[in-house]
Amino acid sequence: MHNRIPFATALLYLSPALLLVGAFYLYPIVYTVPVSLFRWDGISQMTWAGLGNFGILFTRRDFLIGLANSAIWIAVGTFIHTPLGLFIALVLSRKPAGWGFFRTAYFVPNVLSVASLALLWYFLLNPTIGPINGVLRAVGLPKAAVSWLSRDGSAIIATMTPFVLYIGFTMLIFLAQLTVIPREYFEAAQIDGASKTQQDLHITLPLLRRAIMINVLFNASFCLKMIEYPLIMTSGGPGNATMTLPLFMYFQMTRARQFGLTMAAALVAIVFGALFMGIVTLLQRAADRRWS
Amino acid sequence: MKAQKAITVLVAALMLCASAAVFGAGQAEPSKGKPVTFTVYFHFTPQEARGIVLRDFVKQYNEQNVGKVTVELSYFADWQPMQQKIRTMVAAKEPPDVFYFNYNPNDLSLFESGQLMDFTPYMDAAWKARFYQSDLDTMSYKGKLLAIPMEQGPVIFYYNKALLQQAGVTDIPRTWDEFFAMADKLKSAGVGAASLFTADDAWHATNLLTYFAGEAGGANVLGGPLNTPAMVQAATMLQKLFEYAAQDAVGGKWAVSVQDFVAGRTAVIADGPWLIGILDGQMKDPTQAVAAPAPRFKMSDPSLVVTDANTPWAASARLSDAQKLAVADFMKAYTSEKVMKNFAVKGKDIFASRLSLTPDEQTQAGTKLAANIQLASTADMRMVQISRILKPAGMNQLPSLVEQLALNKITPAQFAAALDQANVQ
Repeated sequence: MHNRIPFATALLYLSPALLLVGAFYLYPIVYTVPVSLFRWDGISQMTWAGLGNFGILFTRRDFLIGLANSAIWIAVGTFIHTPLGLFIALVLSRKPAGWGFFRTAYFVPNVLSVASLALLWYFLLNPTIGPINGVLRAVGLPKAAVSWLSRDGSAIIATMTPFVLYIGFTMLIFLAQLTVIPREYFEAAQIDGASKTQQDLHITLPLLRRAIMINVLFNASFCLKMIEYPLIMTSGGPGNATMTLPLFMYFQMTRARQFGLTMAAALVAIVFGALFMGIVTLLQRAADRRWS
Repeated sequence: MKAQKAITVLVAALMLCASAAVFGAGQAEPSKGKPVTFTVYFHFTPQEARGIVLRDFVKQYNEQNVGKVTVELSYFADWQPMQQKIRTMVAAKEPPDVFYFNYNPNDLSLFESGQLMDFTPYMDAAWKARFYQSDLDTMSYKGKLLAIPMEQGPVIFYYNKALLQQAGVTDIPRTWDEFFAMADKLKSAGVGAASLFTADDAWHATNLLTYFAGEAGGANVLGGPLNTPAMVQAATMLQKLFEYAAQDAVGGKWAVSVQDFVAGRTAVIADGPWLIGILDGQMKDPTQAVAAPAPRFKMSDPSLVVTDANTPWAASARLSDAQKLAVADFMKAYTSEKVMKNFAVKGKDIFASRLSLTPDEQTQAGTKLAANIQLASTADMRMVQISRILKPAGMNQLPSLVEQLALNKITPAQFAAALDQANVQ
C-alpha cells in the first residue's frame, strides 16, 4: 500500500532545490535562447539578428573545428579513457602486489585542479626547456624532440594526453561497483571451469554496465566542457587545431565580445550534448534488456 | 491546509530575502568618522619595477590620509581576465571603483555604458596642465571626461649586444635588410633572431606586424580595409621572421617569449618600456640589452614608432560624492609630476602625462628608458599597435591567423583577407 504525499507537501520539500535549480541552471539556459537571436557586446544595446548568429556560426572554420574536436574529445573519453579506467580497476580488484599504492597513485591527480595539471604538461612538453624533449635528446633522439604543442598532428594528442592518463575518478567508480558483485557468481563460474577472462566478459562486464554508463556520461560531459587543457597548453592552436566548443565560446565572449554568437554556440553545444546523452541512455536500455 | 500555510510563509520569506538583497545592494554613503574607501583594479606585478612603485605610492597615500581616505588595491595577475571582469561588472551596472583599461576607438562600449564617472568637475587648470589636450580629448565622450589618460608606451627593439657580437654582428641594424642579414648570422650561431609568440594576444609578433604594416602603408594603414598590399607585404615579412624565431614561438606565451630573450635563446625582442624592469632584474648582464628604434625599409623613410593603446584610469559613476572626490584627489596625486617622475626613474615606465626629466634623472632612469623617451618624442610617425586598434572580432582572430601564417598554413594574401573579413563581422 502506498501513502501518496500530497502535492503541496511535495512542493514544499522540493521548493528550495527547485528554486536553486531554476535560478542558477534553468534560467541561464532559457536566457541563452533570446540572447542568441541578437548582436550584443555585453554592454551596449542589443540589436536583432534573428537566426543570423547561427548562420555565421556554421560558416566559421574555428567553430566547425571546435565542434569536430569536441566530438573527438567525447570519443576519446568514451573509447579510450573509460576502458583504460575499467582495465586498471579490473587489475587492481585482483589485489596484486602494491595495489594499494597504485590505487592512491592513480587517484592523486584527481585532487589537483585541471588548470594546474595543464600548466604542468605545458612545461613538460615545452620544446626548449621541457624535460620530455630533454630526455629524448639525452637518449640520442634529437629529431624526436619536436614542438609537441605547435604541430597539427601532435597538438591535439598532447592536450588529450593528461586527460587520458588521469583515470583515477573513473577507476574509483569501477572499483566501488566491483566490490558489490557477489563472490558467489565467480565461484560458480570457476566450478563450471570458466577462465578469468570468461568471468570478466560474462559476469563482471554485464554487471558493471550501470557503472560503465555513469562513467561514459561523466567523461562525456567533462569532455564536452573541456577548456582548460587546450586553453592553457595551446590557446586552441596551432591555427585552431585544438579548438573545442567551450574554448570557442570563451574566445567569442572574452575577446570578440560577440555574446549573441556565443549563446548560439552554447545552444548548439546543449543540443550536441543532449543528443549524445540520449544515445547513451538508449544503449543503456538496450543493454538492460539484453542482460536483465 | 497546513502545507498551504507553510508554502505561503516560505514564499513570503523568500520574497523578503530577495527584496533585502535588491534594496541592500545600493551604494552606502560613508558614515561619519569612517574613512572614504575605494578599490583600485590593476595588474602591475609585485616584481615589476612599476608594480613596486605603485604599491609604495598607495601605501604612502594611505598613510598621509589616515582616517580620511583608504585606497585598497585589487591585483590581477593577467590583463585579459581583469578586462573581462571589468566588462562583466560594467554590464551588471556595478563597475569597479577605479580601474585600468585599454582604450580602443573602435570599441567605445565602456564610454557608451553610462557607468563611468565624469572627471570634468574635478579637472581644474593645474591638473589639466599635467596632460596633453589631445589625450584629454580622446578620453572625452559627449562632453564628459570619462577617463584619465595614463599610459601609452612605445614599442621599441631590445637587442642582446653580446649575442650579436658572438655572431659577428657589430652594429645594430638600421634597415630590415640589415636586420635579416643579422638574423642569418644569428641562426648560423644557433640563436633565434626574434622573440615571438602566438598564444593569447601574440603581442611580440603583432608588434612586428604593426611596424611592417606602418612602414609599408603609412601610419593610417590600419584605419581602413585590411586586405591591402601593405598588409600583404607586412604579413610576408612576419612570415619570414618566424623562420628566425625560437622553437617555442608558435604556441608560446608572452612569458615564454620574454624568457627566450632573457636566457639568450633569442637576440631581439620588441616590447614596451615595462620590459626594462624585467630585463634589469632577470638578465645575467642587463647592460648587454640595448634599446634601439625599429629598422626601416630604407633609411630615407620616415621613422615610425608603434605605441600601445592609450591605457587610462576610469572610475565608477555609482560612487558616492565623497568617494568621487576622494578618487579625483587620489588621481591628482597619482598624476602629479613628482609621482610620474618616480614612475619613470624607479618604475621604468612612461606615462601619458607631461614629464620632463633632468639629466640626472635621465641617468637614474637608465639608458633603455632614455631611449624609449627619445624614440617616443622624436619619431616622424606614430601608430597604435594592431591588436589594440582592431574591432574585437578582428582581435579575436588575429593570434590564430598569425599562428597559421607562421606555420605556412595560409599565405600572406589569405592572412590579409581573413583578417579584413574578421574585422568587419
